[in-house]
Formats: sequence, structure tokens, C-alpha cells
Amino acid sequence: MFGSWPVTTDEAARPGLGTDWTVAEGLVRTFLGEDWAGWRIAIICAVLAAIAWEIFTALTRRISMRLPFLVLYLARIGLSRTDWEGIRAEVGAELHVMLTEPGFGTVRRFINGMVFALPLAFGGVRRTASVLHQPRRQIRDGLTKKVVTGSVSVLAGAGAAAGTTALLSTQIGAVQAIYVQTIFVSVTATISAGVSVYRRKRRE
Amino acid sequence: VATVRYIVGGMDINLTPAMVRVLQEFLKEPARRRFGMEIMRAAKVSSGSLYPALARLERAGWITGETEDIDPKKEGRPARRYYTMTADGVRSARLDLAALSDRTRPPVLPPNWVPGTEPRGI
Repeated sequence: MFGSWPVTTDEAARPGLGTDWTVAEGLVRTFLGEDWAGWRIAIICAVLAAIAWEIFTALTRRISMRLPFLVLYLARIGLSRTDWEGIRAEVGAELHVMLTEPGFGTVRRFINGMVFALPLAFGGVRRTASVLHQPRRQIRDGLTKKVVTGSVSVLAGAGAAAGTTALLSTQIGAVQAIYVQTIFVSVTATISAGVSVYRRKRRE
Repeated sequence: VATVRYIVGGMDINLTPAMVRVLQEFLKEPARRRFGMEIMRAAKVSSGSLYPALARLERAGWITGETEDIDPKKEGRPARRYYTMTADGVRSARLDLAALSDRTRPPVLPPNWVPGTEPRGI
């Protein structure tokens, strides 16, 4: 490769490199004053750097393509599946076009995508859904109702359990009362879960 | 097959600044079909304002939205949705924008008004 370059084995032709770099050790000076071992290392480093750069750019492209979609998918929170699917099809198609638009660099496309996705994620999609169907209020109402009903049930159950345990403990002792109460609560919870699963399946 | 999602009339349109810009953009060429991104750039509104506005307009029957009739695999992208203004929409939009312009026009000054002559300190 460097055959045409002047190759020297003269120690004096390598100023500043020290006297340990000698011909006796098999080191031969080539282009730019480097020996063959140095060039081998340089080539290996160059190949590794090129691979690392390709991986980096591929990852950057992938992230720049994916991140706006991930941001957009934040809008899914709190929406019904039907509404989300309808809106996602539309805005997702636009975002896809924006991220693959010719004439812009990766960074510019990424910025455009984020500028498009962020306002939608933080309110735009929800406002659109509320205009179309107003489902969010219904979902929120349903969720509130479930949370309130569940909390009341849990509190009532805990109160009843504590009361009956206290009552039983005066009759059969505290430890036995806790055993009895644990068995009772487990059986009741199992039956409730079974009933609720049965009802849900029946509704579906 | 392209599908029409909503054709519902009788909804009041709240003319927000974003809505006004979107309508003005539609009225430039009412018969032309436009994509969301195109309207967003031309009308200079954010996506967070555009899509609720389009949903309102579509629900009111001022515009119709249809999905492109393409093969996504062949085109290498999902089908986009485009919007076209209806005849009712053109008429209503022009009337509403004219009414808005009338309401927001500054009052006409009397012919004898001269700058700096109005009394101060009253």
C-alpha cells in the first residue's frame, strides 16, 4: 500500500521518537513517519469509528422518527379506544408525512414532528375528541364513580371487619378472632371477585 | 373506498382567532381539498388548535373530511385525511366572517374630528 513511499530504517530519520524504536525490533517507518503496526491500529480504529458512527446515525434516525410518535401517544391517556383510534389514524398519518418529508434534514424533520406532536399530546387530541363525541367527560365520570364506590366499599368493609374482630375477640380471644376474620374476609373477597367476573363476562 | 365521517349541521361555530385563520385559508379556494398539515402551515395555527377546529367545522357541516383512497403499502405511508369546504360552509363562513368584521371594525369618526382636539381631564 505504501510501497511507493520512502521507507527508511535509519534511526536518525526518526527525530524525537527515542532510541528504543530501532530496526532491530522490526519497526519500519512508512507514510507520515508511522510504522506498519501504527497503520494497522489506525485502520482498525477507523473501521470501528465508522461502525460506531453508522450505529449512532441509525439510532438518531430511529429516535427522531419514534420520539414524536411516543409524544403523540401520550394523548391516548384518558381517551376511549374508539376515539383514540379515529384521531390517531389522522394525526399519525400527518406526522408520518412530516417525518419523512423530503427537502428537510433529520434534525429539522424531528423538530417539525415534535412541534406537531406536542400540542396534540397536551390537549389537542382531547379537545378534538370532546368536540366529536365528548367521551372524556363520560369516562371521567365513570372513573370517578368507580373510585368513590370502591373507596366507600373498602372503608365500610374495613370498618365492619374491625368491629366484628373486636366483638369476637371478647368472646373467643384476639388471636382466634383474627383467624376467623381473616378466613371470613378471604372467602367474601373470593366470592365478590367471582361474582364481578361473572357479571363482566355476562355484559360482554 | 374513501369514507365520509361526519356530515352534521346546526352547530354554532365559535370564531376563535385560529378558527378565523383556518376559515380564511379554506375560503381562498373553497373547492380545493386540503390536508391537515397543509392547512396548519398556511393558516399558521398549531396542531393543538387546528384539529379541534376542523372537528367543529366538520361537525357543523361546513367542511367534509375524507380519507385518501390509496394503498398504504404501495405508497409507503398511511392514508391521510383531507378536507373540502361544502357550499353551506362557504356561505356560512363568509357571512360569519363578515359579521365578525363588522363587529370588530373601529367606529367611524365624525367628519369634523381633528386629532388632539378632544377634551381631557373629564
